[in-house]
This record gives sequence, C-alpha cells and structure tokens, in this order.
Amino acid sequence: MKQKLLIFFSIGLFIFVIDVIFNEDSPNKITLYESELDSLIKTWVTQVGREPTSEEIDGIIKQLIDEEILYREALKLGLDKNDIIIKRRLAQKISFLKQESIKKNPSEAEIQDHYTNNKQDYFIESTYTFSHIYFSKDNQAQSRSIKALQSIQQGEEPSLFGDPFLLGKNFSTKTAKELDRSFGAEFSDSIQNLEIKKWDGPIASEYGEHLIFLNSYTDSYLPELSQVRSMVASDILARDQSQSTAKYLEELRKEYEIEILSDLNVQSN
Amino acid sequence: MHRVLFLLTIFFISSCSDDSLVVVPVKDVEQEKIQNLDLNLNRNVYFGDLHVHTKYSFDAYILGNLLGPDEGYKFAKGEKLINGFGRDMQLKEPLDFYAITDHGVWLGVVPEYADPTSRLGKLEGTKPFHNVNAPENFTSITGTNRVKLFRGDYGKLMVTPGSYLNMFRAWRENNTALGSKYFDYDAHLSAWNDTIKAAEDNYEPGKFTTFVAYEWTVSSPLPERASYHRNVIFDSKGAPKRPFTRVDSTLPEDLWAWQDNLREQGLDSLSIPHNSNQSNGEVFKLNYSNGRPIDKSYAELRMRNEPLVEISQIKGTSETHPKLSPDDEWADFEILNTRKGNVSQYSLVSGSYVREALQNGLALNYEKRGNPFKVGFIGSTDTHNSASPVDEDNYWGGAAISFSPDNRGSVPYGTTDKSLSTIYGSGNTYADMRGVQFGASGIAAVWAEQNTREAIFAAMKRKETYGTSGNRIKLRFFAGHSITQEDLKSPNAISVLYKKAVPMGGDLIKKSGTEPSFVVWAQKDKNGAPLQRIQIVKGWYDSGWRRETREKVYDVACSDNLEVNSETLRCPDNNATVDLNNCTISANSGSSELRTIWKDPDFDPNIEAVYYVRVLENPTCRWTTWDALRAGVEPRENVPKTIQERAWSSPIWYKPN
Repeated sequence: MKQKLLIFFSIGLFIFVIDVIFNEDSPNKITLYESELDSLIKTWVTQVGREPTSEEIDGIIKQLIDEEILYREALKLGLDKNDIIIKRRLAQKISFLKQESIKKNPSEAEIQDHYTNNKQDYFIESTYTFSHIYFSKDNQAQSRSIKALQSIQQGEEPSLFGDPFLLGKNFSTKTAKELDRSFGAEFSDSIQNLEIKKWDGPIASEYGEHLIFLNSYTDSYLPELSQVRSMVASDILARDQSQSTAKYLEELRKEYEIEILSDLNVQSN
Repeated sequence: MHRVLFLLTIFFISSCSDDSLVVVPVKDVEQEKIQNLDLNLNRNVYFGDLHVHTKYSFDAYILGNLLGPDEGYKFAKGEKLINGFGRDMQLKEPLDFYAITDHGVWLGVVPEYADPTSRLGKLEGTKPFHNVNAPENFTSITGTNRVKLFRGDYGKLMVTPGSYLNMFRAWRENNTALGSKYFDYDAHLSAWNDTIKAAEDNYEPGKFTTFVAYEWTVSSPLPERASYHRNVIFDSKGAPKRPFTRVDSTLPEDLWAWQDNLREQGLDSLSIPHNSNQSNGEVFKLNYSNGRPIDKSYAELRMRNEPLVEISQIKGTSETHPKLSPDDEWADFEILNTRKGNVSQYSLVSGSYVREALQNGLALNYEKRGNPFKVGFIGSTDTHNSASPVDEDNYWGGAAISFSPDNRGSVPYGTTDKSLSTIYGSGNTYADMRGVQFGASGIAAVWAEQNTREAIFAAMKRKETYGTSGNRIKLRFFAGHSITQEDLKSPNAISVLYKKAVPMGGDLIKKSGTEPSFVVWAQKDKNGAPLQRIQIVKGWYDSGWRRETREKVYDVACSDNLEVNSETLRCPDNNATVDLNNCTISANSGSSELRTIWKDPDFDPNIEAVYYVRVLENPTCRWTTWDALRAGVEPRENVPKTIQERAWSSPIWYKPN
C-alpha cells in the first residue's frame, strides 16, 4: 500500500514538474497524458512480470521524454525523409493495423472447417514402446538370436540371452525417426512388421540383431479437435492475417499508377 | 533557466543502473508439457552444438552471413539453408539441442554500418562497410576486402569515442559501449531480443532444446593479442537484459562475478572456454589476471561458473599437443598453431591444452590451492555460417566466404572458382595454411534423462558430457569399486552401473582394500567409420623427487577381437585403409561396438588421478582430400590426407581422500 502511494506520488510530482517546466506555451511543450503513461506501465508489467518500483517509473517517464525530444528534433531536421527504416516501419505498421482489425477469435464453425480441411497439419506420428534383446554383430548375432528366440518360445527366461546394449533395453514411445537415429536406417521399417506382446524378430540394426517384445504401438493418428483447438485457432488467425494484407494491397495497387524511369529519364526531366 | 532545471531533474532521478545485471524473463513452457515427457533414468545421449554464430556477429556478417538465429535453429532441426554465396547447408541427421552464441560485443550493430540509410551508416567511418552484403557483393573476390574490414576497420570504429553526451550515458548506465561513436544500443538490444525470441520459439521440450547464450569475446592487448573467449550458456529461465561483453571487462574473474550475481537473482549460467589452443597460454594459465598465483578462492570461483571446456571445434582441437605429449602417437590431431587475434604468430603451447590443464589442476590441488581445472568436455563448431559443418564429405567452412574449396585453401586458387584466377593466376597459388588447418568439427554430447533445458543443463553442470570431432559416436564411461564382468554382461548393465559406479564427470572416492574398475563402452556413429580402439588417458602429479605432472595413454579395447599388447600397451594394427582415389574405406576392419572393463596397472591408492576416454575411428578422408577429389586435383601437400575421427569423454577423478 505504502509502495503504491509512493508510486502515485512520484507520478504526480513528475507530471507537476514537467508542467511547471513547460508552462510557457512554447512549441517545445511536451504534454504527457496519464493514459499514455498507464499503458507504458502496463507494457512494462507484462514484459517484466511485476509492478515497477517508483524509481523504475521515473525511468520510464524519463525515457518517454527523451524519446519525444529526440523525435521532435529529428522531425525538425527532416530526418524522417528518405529513411528506408522509417519507410519499412510505417509499411509494417499499416499492415499490422489491417491485421489487428481482423483479429477476432475464429468461430466454432471456422475452426471445425479448418481442422477438417487441413488434417495433414495435425497428425501425431506413430510411436513404439518395446524391450529388446541385443546380439552383437561381433559375435554371431544371426545364429545366436534365432536360437535364443526358439528357447524363449519354449519357455526359457528371456533375460538369460543376449548382450547388453549401450542405450539400455527399454524404449518408450519412440517415433520411427528416433529409432532410426538410435539403431540405423532399416530398423523402423522392420519393427513395424512385428507382432505385438510377444518376443519376435530378429531384426537387424547397425550394431547387430535384436529380438523385440513390442509392448505397445500407437498408430499415427489425427488428434481430436479438442486437443488441438488452440493450434487450429492460431493457424486460422495467421492465415487470415496474411490474406487480409494481401487483399488490402491488391485493392490499393489499383489506385496507384506505377512508372519506372531510368536515371537518364530523370535527368532529362 | 528552465532548461538547466530540466537537466538537473533528469540527472537527479537517473540512478546508476546497469542493464547487464537486470534479468528479463523468458517465455515459460507449460510445465504440464514437460511433466508428461518420458524420463529415462538410464539416460539418453543427445547431440548438439553450443557454439554458433549468425548474422548478428560482427565477423560473421562481414564475411557474408545473412542468416539469423531462427534460421540457425531450423537448420539444427534438419532444414536446408542456403548461404549468401549459394552454398547448400544441411545435416545428415537433425541435432537434439543447439545454442546461438553470437559475439556479445557489438552484437547486431555491424549490419547497421552496412545500411547507408541508418544512423550509423551515415557516419563517415562506416563507408567501407556500405552494402558489403548487397547481392552483387557475394563473389569470391570480395573476400580480401571482407577480411580487411573485420580485422582492421571494425576494430578502429569500435574504439572511436563518441560525444560527451555518449560518454555521460556510458558512465551513467555503466555501459561502456554507449561511449563509442559507432555503437547503437537499439540495434544491439533488438538483436539480443531476437536471439532470445528465437530460442523461445524453437524450444520443443522432449524433441529439441535451445538455450539463450552468447559469446564473451576477449583478447589481451597488442602486441600479445591472445584470445581467451568463453561462451555463456544460460539455463534460460531468464536472460540478462543485455550481454556482459569485453567492453564491460576483459577479465574472466569479472565475467564469473557477473555470472555469480545473476545466479543470486535465480538465473544460472555456464561459461565454456574455447580455442584454448589459440590462447597463447591464457586459458589455463596459473595466475589471476593481475599476475598473482591462483589459490583456492580462484578455483572455487572458476569451478562454480566454468565446469566444461570445448575440446574441439572448426579452429582446431585443444586436447593436447605433440610437444606436451611426446609419447602419445595420436597427439598430433587437428592442431591449429597460431593465435586468434594475431594470426601471424604462433600460440604458446603450455597453458593452451586441456590435458596439461587437468594435470596442473591435480598439482595445484596437491599444494592445497584447489583445482581450478576440474573440467568436463564438449565439442562444438564455432560456425560463423549459422549452420554446423561437421561432415568431412560435406564441409562448407566456418564462414560464408569459405563456400568454395579455393577460398578454404584445399585446392589452388582458380580451380573451381575461375573469378579468382584473374587475381592469382591459375595453377599453384593456395590460400594460406590457416584455412586448411580448420576442421569439420565438433559435436557436444550429453547424457540426460530427457531432452529438456532442465535435464541437459543439469547434465552439463555435473559434466556427464563428451565431445567429438564431428561424429556421433555413442560413449559411456563409468568407474566403481565393485563392478564385475557379470554386471557388464547383464541386460540391465546400465542401471547396475548407475547404482554401483560414477559416470563420466564424477569423482570416485577411495575405498580401502579395493581398486577401481573402469567401464568403457562405445558404439560407432551409424553414418561414420567403424571403431578402431578405445584408450584411457591418465594424468597425475608425481610428488616424489621429480615434482612434475605425468600422463600415460593406455589402449584398453581393440577392434576385430584383437588384444592389447601388454608390453607396448597398444592394439595391433587392424589394417584399416583408405583408398585416396575415391575415399572408400576397407570394409572388413573395425568394430561397430567396443566394450570392456579395465583396471589401471599402475594404480596407487594414495595418489589423486584423472582418467578420460578417447575413442578412435578407423581413418577416413579429411575434408581437404574430399575437396581435391571432387575438383579433380591432387590433395594439397603438407596437409594430412586422412583423419581419425574421435570422441573424448569427460574425465573421472580418483580421490584418495
């Protein structure tokens, strides 16, 4: 509470000081509005995540004034003319303005529609969860793995077989790409042909042969709309914005006549 | 009167603030997303690059890089980039993590010089920079001018003082850069904010990790001009409002104090020195910056902030040097022997290589002065092209201008780039040797429970990391007192090892009556050559009458079921060959996996020692040979034609007390 009072007081004091300083009604008068200050403070709060201290508010005000002074001086000197950065900034500003104007939340129907028509953007990749028994390439991988599979099928304990694998024996919810990065290129092609919930294989990797117990496999799927709603909504917004800027430009182009002159022509003018 | 009053008021209310000490938040990821991710207690290996420059680095921009941080991250995720000179850049496999580390000093300012309409571009001094990256300037012959700009003109502008108002602002805001006539704080902040935003936008917990980071780029004054650069990697829960750079201080102690200050505010960071090889002995010297011998409090300050070093990158490998390790047949590997800021002078060997530093650390510790060099290893590239060139058969150089073999020195000028023959004639003039001493290296590997900022950052702090010369060898390293052969045969080997032993980066404390066993275990990179051998490098301090640091290299596992010769401690030759006519390698030698338990035959339970692993691949063609082969010319003389790619684990320290 004390803090807030202090802030309020210092804002008040500052505006008062400014007011006194610029009381002569000169063209150099800078008027600050509380609303302007409020919005600056709000921006500050969203950026920093807390209320500014009174010192920081002084800083904000000071920056505002400095900027305004430099800006006016620059205008007086005509520095805004032929500055490509300013040109770009203004061009950007007006396109933002157009984008802002259509920034509304898309309707339920629109969302449903976009989702249905762009399903390919929202698919979740298939994943594999499995344990494996590894047989090193350097030690008769093929024959040992086939023999081990037969023994396991006849009821022997799986943990009696194989060599330890550097990345461990259990792999959880790995995509095909992730498997290929850990095991080598054909591994994911082979694993998708295996049966679930039984020891199967062997399949080859860069490092040897593997018997696989595929615990679960989730097919690639299209998530329910409810799971990706916010993604769909922001995609619609992005699409609308780029469309509206394009459309706006299209209309404006009609009002402009464009002429390209070579420098020679300019001189002869 | 009013004006004076106004100025006084401004002066009165402005406090001496320092933006580099202000922490700004970084967009938070939904914690729920992270909690739903799998946690592998046996840890996964993740590969990344923590040293990447984009167009915001003064030198990268001048040398023709127009790609920014966002493009850099897209590259790491597997997308193809095309640099300004038209060179395609794409990885064989995506990386798991990446950090953009642009030079903090003048970050984002030099592109302003190049724009004649900007505030700085209108100043007289920036004229030579105008339009340096205009489309018509992306030609080889601009190379000489570009190098002159960044080695000469840029440095002069940086130190040109501005007006008194500039000076006043610099003093008031404790930001020396503001005092320069050729600095623009808005451009600087906007580039830094864009760097932060790119890290925010590209972070995908579980899939791809980014870090907010930058490079603290510092050299000692002329004539010595030795560099001792560090990358600063933030845990990325926040970021400083601006980076702390060489204009703030050129002393590493000040950098670490700044990191300490941010850590107290809740923002953790690591600084990672690189190119110690080019530091002229600065990075691992035994003194404070002011010349005082280092002591315990130096060791603590340094270790709090600097647990890792970059052991290999484009500009050479810093493991060791043949002069330091005359008995190590593999020491002469990717050595770049000149200084960074002063490329026509050699870099002093002592103080520049990590193996020597590990040993010196033990000597210092013996003298009760603490161990300031208890460091783990990573590799990274230091690319100035936004994209990591890590493959010998697809090397695009460290900077955009190195897009052609002629420019990188692997073939004579004019061979592939006819425009250069107008200057250099054709046939036998090469670019200088420095270019061919550059290498297609390195990669940072991290053992972490999941691919998130928290898990990877924690792994880096406990040094469960290793570095490679660009390949993706998978490497485990453990040490313990009661590991058995049986443990290693069990399918549960990894979880047993985590229970019974310490992983790379850890300390193994003495246990009376037992001798430690070391487990080394490596798998080849599926896109790389087969493995040839695993070695353990041991360092210690001999406190007897010799009073000196010692080292020894042991072969511990050999490919093709060969046995280590107990006299020479070396594997027999596995007869691996490379056909230089087409760069194919022999198909029948080398192993896809090597694994063993090793005991130190010279173990003394009372002597502190450090052990790290070096894994060697069979030889393959070096990038210079690939370049020559493709251009249809002979490989350049006096340049190694082949390379034995390798990985270096972080050490394990044996502590007798």
